[in-house]
Amino acid sequence: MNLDPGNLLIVLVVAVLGISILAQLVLYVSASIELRHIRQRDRHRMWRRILNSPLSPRVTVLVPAYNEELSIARSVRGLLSLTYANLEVVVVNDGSSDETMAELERAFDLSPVHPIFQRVLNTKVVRGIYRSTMDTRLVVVDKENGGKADALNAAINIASGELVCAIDADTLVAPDALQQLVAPFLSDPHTIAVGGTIRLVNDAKSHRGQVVRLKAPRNWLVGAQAVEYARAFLIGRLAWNPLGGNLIISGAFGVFQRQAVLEVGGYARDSVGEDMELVVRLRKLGYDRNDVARIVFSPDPVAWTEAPASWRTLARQRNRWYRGLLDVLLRHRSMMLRPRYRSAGMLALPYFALVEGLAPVLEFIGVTLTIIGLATGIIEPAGLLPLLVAYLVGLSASFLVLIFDDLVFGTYSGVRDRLKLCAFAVFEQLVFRPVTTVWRLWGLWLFLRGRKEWGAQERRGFAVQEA
Amino acid sequence: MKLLSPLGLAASLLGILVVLYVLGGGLRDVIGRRRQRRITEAKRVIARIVLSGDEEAGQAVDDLPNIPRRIRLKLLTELVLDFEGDADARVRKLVEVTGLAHHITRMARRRNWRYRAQAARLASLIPDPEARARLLHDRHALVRAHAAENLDREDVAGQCGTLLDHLDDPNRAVRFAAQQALLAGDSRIVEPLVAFLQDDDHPGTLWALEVAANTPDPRLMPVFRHHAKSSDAQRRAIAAEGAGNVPGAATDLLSELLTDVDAEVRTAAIGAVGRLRAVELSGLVGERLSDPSWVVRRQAGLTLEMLAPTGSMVLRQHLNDPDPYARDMAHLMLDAIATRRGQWGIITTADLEALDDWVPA
Repeated sequence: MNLDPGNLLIVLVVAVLGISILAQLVLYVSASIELRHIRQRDRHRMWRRILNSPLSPRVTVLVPAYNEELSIARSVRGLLSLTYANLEVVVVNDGSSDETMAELERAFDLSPVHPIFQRVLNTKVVRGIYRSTMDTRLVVVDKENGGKADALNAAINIASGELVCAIDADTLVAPDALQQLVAPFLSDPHTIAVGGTIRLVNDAKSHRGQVVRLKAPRNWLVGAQAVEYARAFLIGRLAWNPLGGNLIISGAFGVFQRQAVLEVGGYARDSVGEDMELVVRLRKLGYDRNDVARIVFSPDPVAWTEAPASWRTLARQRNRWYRGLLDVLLRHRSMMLRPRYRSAGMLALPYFALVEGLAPVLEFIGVTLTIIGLATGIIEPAGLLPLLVAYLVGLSASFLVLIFDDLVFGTYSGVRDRLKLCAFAVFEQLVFRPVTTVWRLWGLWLFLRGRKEWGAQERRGFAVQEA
Repeated sequence: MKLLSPLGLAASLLGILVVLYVLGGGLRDVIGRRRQRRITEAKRVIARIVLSGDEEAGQAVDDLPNIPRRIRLKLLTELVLDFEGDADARVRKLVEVTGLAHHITRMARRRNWRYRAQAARLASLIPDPEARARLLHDRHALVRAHAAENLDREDVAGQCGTLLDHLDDPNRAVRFAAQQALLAGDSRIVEPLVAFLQDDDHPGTLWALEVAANTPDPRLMPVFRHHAKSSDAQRRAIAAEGAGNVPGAATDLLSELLTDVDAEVRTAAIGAVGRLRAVELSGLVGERLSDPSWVVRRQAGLTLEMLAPTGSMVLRQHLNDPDPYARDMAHLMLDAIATRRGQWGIITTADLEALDDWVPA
């Protein structure tokens, strides 16, 4: 093969895609090993009697709520119906401009208590603290708007549990999910954080704040996200457990040791990727102190969340996530390739920087050059064959995730739902990913210009039907 | 497109995965449904044996050999904790008759810890007490934890020493399981517990204190007095909590702990006063309505409600307290009491008079 500019370009593009696919394959193998390990171990981790005891570690569920009037009551009801015996729920109304606070008062008959607490973490002014007279496990904090991280910090200040579980206000949690999330803390005293799986709730059927039946989404955009979420959680996070570099515990569902969070100063209020940022800081502190700080992802505890169903909302979300990633990579660049930070510094952060951080730029350059090459005749149409092969292999990886998902959770059943998901997987590869690349580039542009705010959120209430 | 060309290979790989996902998944659904049906059927058989009359149970026993051993084990593991009394005796009999007991005992000796862990979860069904005790001393922490979690009440008394040693275990799951097992035990655990708690150097003292605090027995009072003087606030708090479960003997100790430097201890002491209905301490509890900690103030309010009518009187006195927090808490509590009585429709003339007393003119 002669190395004329056209061929060289194709070789370069295929090399980048090849490296990305190779990295994915390594993660697939790692995830398979970990899954087998977890399955064998968890069969013997049925702490049914123990975790139903009121002496089990107290868990405070932290629910930051900003303009959540449509879904807050249902979410909180779902949380209070969790089967965990030693539970407290702290909802923080983060200066909502809608009727969130009124909805909470109406649904849970709140009674004011004096706002005296130990303010270990700095937050915006707390206007009032309320406790439900219907269920005293519910505490509501009304404060001035300061963003999600600020609301979480306010909740951590007030939390009385030794473990805190951060969830989004629009998240539904499976009844036994907390038991499963707490189990790793019992088994290994070095565990400081455990994350669970997030599934999409759109088009599901629910009963009393709990999801009872999942169906394949009807909306193409939500369907593509279903495939993407499965890949992100089953491969992206599970695979990092044995590699020791798990850097993300989803802000929508994760349990932390409260003391550890307090020691690192809580959530960073000036970061848009506050969940990942906190985990990286927890890891860093652990390594700096030569402590074993175990941060794990557990696939079985499941929570459901509503996925954006419109291009506009999704664009904002992806843009924010990407800016969050860049922010974390930039803040903790000193950890990169430093053996002192072991797998987090030597593997995970470089992976996130190269594969996740640089991906949109590389993809954009690759596609642009290919189009220019085709237009100017530098690349012959037949030269695109390797590119097509790479895409087909990428698509195969998506199907492998679906098979994985089926084996682990059996989320969707029936041939019709599976065929739908096949279509979504193709859509995700061919349309969704290129579009997200554009959004991430937009995020990069905003990041370079110093934009750090979250942007407006759109809430439609749960798209689930009551069974 | 040649099948062995890179494109052909990639397309074939994709095709195979699609077929595997759609058809393999469908096949898995069918097998899963069939398995679920078998499990449901097996559950029905076991429920008939365990819960129905002798004749029907006898008929159901004949169906038992049709259930694969794997499913029998799975079901017993799930159900064993849920049966008590006669049903429990029947499960044991069933396990012996079907040879499952022998199988579980064999599992308890396997080299692979996973088998031993499963045996530990069924430990109460193993007839040989030595085999049960061996699991409790297993080298694998999870096996020890499961064995402790599934101990019989009778075994708890016999293994009390081992369980107390387990409270010092470096593995938290083992400590937790041992603690729960001790809590499920009867009064025979008290003496060894007292002996264990007299020594301050055990790493598991706090865990043992929690057990003691939840075991209402006057013999534990000296232990609570001892730990109420500890420099560790958590120990003092648990001691206060425990003292609240020993009627009559603890008022002097509680009055001391009501003014402890730690808010958690004060809260526990106030709660204990409420549980003991120690009306003579209601004045001291009333003083806690001006406590710097909201949790303590709230607990004081709730306790005074429990100590009615003396407690209500103290609350009314604090409506004129110079401290705004004490005033507010008293106001909130009296309001809550009145609302609750209103809800139950039992407002009395005395209540109305009381309302007149504190509503500002």
